[in-house]
Amino acid sequence: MPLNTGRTLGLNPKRRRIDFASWVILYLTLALFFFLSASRSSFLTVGNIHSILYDTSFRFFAAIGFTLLIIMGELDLSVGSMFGFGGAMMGLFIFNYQLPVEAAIPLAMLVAGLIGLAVGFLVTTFRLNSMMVTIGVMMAVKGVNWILIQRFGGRQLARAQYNFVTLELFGIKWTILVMLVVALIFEIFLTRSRHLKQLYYIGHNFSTSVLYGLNANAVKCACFALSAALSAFGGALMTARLKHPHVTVGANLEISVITAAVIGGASIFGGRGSMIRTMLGVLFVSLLQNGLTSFNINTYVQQIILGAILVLAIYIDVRVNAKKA
Amino acid sequence: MPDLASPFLDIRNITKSFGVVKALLDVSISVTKGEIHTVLGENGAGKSTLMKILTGEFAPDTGYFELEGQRLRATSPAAAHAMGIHMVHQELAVFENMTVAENIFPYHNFKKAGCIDYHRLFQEAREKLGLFGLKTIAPEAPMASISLAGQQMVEILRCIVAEPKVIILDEPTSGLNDHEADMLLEILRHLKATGLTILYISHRFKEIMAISDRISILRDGRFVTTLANDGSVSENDLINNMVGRDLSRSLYQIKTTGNAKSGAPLLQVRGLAKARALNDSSLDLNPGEILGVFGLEGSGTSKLSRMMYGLETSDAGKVIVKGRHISPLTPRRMVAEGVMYLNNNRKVAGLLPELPVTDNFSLPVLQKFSRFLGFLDLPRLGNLATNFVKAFAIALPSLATKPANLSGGNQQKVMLSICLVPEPEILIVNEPTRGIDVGAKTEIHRFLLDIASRGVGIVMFSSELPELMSLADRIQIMRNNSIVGEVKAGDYTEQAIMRYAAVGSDNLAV
Amino acid sequence: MLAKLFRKNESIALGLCLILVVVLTFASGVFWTQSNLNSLQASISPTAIMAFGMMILLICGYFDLSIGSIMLLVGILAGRLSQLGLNTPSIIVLVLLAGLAVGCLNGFLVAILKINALIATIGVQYIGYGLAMTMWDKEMQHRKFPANFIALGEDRFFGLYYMTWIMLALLLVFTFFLRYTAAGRRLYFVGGNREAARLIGFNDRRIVFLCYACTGLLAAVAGVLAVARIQSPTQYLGGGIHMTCMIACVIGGGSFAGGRGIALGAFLGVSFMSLLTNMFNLLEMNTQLQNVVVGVTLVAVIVIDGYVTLKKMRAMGKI
Repeated sequence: MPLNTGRTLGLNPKRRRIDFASWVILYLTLALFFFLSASRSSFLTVGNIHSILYDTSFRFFAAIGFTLLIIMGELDLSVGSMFGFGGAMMGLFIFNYQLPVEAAIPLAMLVAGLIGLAVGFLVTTFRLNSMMVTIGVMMAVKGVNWILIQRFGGRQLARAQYNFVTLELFGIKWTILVMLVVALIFEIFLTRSRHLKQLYYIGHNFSTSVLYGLNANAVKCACFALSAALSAFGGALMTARLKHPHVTVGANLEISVITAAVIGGASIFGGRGSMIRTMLGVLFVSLLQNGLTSFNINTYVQQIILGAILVLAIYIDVRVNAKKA
Repeated sequence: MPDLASPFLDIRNITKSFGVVKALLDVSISVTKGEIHTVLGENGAGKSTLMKILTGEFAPDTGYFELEGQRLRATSPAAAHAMGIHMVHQELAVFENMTVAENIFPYHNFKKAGCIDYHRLFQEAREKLGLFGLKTIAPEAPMASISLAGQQMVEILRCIVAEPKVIILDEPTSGLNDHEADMLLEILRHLKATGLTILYISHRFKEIMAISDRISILRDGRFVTTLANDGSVSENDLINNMVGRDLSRSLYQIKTTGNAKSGAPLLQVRGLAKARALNDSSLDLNPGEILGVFGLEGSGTSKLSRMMYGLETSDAGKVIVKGRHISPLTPRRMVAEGVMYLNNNRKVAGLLPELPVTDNFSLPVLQKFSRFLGFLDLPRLGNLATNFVKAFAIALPSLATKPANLSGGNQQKVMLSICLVPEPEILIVNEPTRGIDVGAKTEIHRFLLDIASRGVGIVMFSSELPELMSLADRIQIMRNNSIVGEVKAGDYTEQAIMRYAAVGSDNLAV
Repeated sequence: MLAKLFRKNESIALGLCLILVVVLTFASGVFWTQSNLNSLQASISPTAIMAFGMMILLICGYFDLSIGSIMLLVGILAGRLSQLGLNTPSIIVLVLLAGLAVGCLNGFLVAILKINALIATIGVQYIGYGLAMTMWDKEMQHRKFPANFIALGEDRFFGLYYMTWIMLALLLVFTFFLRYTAAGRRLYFVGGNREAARLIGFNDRRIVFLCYACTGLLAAVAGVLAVARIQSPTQYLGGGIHMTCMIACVIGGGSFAGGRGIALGAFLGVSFMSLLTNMFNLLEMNTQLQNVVVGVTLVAVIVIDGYVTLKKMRAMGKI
């Protein structure tokens, strides 16, 4: 069975059969979980699991818009730098304009969202390769992040400006709960609501979706904007967690996110992908990094492994999903 | 004079089918050395398939061909090249980023001390160009800078310098104006004089008559006849042979009375035009009417259908639906106004082969069947799908089946159903029965008549004349990117319509 | 108008370089000093050598984002090998082979397995970076290479560094290859119209594979020269250089659509980028601002490229 079998949109009420092949990511995650539980005594503790989930919850915000875009066959490589941009902008609004954090974060998201919108406009109007455009955006935004963060000179956020991120509900960090709820809501909307279900139509066959009256370009623009805004939100939360803006926030995150989405069943050819499985993909990457670290494998070897997994996942994607033309 | 006694290229009993569709049935044609042999037929008569078998792009089911008495079977274009068979495709295979000279000699055989000898390359190219009277094309010029006609001739030159035995030209004049086409014909005569054998495909009767030594006619995948163009053959003879079906026994009943409903026209197309694609075209569609549009390949029918639905941009003209001028003209606006478009190629667009049939049906009605927050009314969509599957007698294992696993006929029925789900008032259908079996074809014809009887206006673009004659209330005919005439039900004869399509008038004397 | 201007982009790159030279001559007193010219040479030469590789890939319609990490890998591997006490020639041969191997890996992934060039080379970039850093240790940066290795980056011949001579020699070689050999011309056929190239019997996959291999080798040559100049390995080698090369090539007349570009254009584009860095340094502007300028330039170039292509397709009646 192929790894990324097409998921149905669940229109037929009678169809209750679960497509096992598409849940490969669940089994991978469980296998890794049990392996680490069995081999590392330090792994299966409430504290460790909680901290892995906590890590995952920040990254997941960069993966939401990315998943929506990859379903439509577009790749947004700027999610990592937009993640960092959220933190830098939050710092800018707090340090330079003395805004409260409640205003700084939405404003940071707004600025990021507008950049995303501009990217979407350029990509759809001039029919550009979104990967190429977003790689340019990635560089430019990364430069802006550095410049801003250098200017802050290591200034720390005030306690009131960061402690909201560590709030807990039922003993669980709220970002984890938000991640679960957001993933579930997106999953439901992707399968049940016309607003998100149309992404699959656009991704499966752009021309057909246009032929039958979908406004595919507008949908793509909206998703580019959403991708940038949500990445910025995740970055702002991460910055609050670190208590100060830092240039490492979001560094190389795009690689983890692509890997997560693709091993979560998305295809770079479009038409496939699910929010829950992307979340599991992000969790898998976090687990993997946690596990490798616990085996004292240094970050550079981790990079090799992650790069190899990415290439392998894309290779399987090409073999399984390349248009049979 | 060509030596007619011994066949140079002998095509023997070739049969080829794609699924249930028989593209070629026992076709045999013999071609003599040094002649220009035209292969003529309507769209879908099997010309392209036959040529692709000669060039090794398709393998025949049965049959073979002989070249100079040697029995051959090309397995790839490269193998065909090695045998001396070259083809100039309608879709040009030129390199716009290179010079004209390099397009003629891509293999760079002219060398001096191991380096490419550009001086010699340009000189040779200039000589070749001069030989064909193309002195205005500079060999140093970038390919992108010369006209389409020039590019066409350069591609032919590239085949010629490989010294082929047979050269196949597929509609070489389709993008050219009359003057350019004349130049090309002159070159072909010149080539013939050097002993080259040319297989020629075209729909332009004037040039066929002017240049061919012999003309073979295919119809519905069968060989009809080969005529010698020695002055005794008229355009009329060709048309009669192309169309000469015995319609009294066929599944088609020719429509004799038009369904002329008066009242406000549903759809008005006014002066739609685009440079090099479509000349000033207008048409009107009344409720309950099936308006046929017929044209031979390259006559602009597909362009017109796409432009009037907003799938391609046009330079001028407007589309009016129920009295309302649609601007901007986009498929989205058209769908909202109750217009749907059945695409001619379901592999490119019109069908989502990898999604379940129910999802296919719900695509155009996502908005209509959504409730709070856009949540879809799944049970109602399910019912809708069930009803359509029943009404169209689509053979489906279940509603979750993907169209990719269905037969061509059922896929086509699914695609037609998708267009009917939003209950359109106007339907534009482009080749509604291409590549499907006879049973599905008759069913689709019945559906179209049924829909029209309920007041839906249908514009039907088809290259199958009998189909149009049995369904349409009027047929407009296109030639050279213009609408050249109209025939009403009751006056239908294949000859009359084909004459319009072939020579642009129903009167041969003109 | 825009299209016409865009077509002559070797001259655009030349013009941009001249403008920067004029600006720097007047705005900075130290531009024409020997030490500044030396540092310009040291920044242009290795980058240009890599850009020749990028250019041949762009001509075929591909690109390589892993060249920066190949450079790093080569630099650190050279450091390791010299710690092991190998002599200079064997170090050079071994690291060049390593670069060639990574290039072949790229070629294998892209041309043979048909993985999207961007993803494949990003993956290899990641792997290469990780591999390099696993061999890295901090004390390495304090250990100098053997004298005859450092000579590659330090010594001069007629006033120019060896590396500049090597770069100029490669410029000639690639100019000749792309202009006067049938193999070189084939790249333009493949990049101009891949389907048609296949139809007339060119083996596009083999050509693309060889181009990737060659690019890997060139990145290794650049890596050797760069570490020789710095005298010891550093973990910052090659960071972001793939973007610099790609943008330089596009400014110098290459196109993502393929089929265009010459070696001189790559050289001029790299000169422009290096002069730009030089300007940021000499005028004491924030060096990170350069990333912003480069990123925005890349987007602008892609948009103009796309606009020209779209307009052409409209004119041909394809849309």
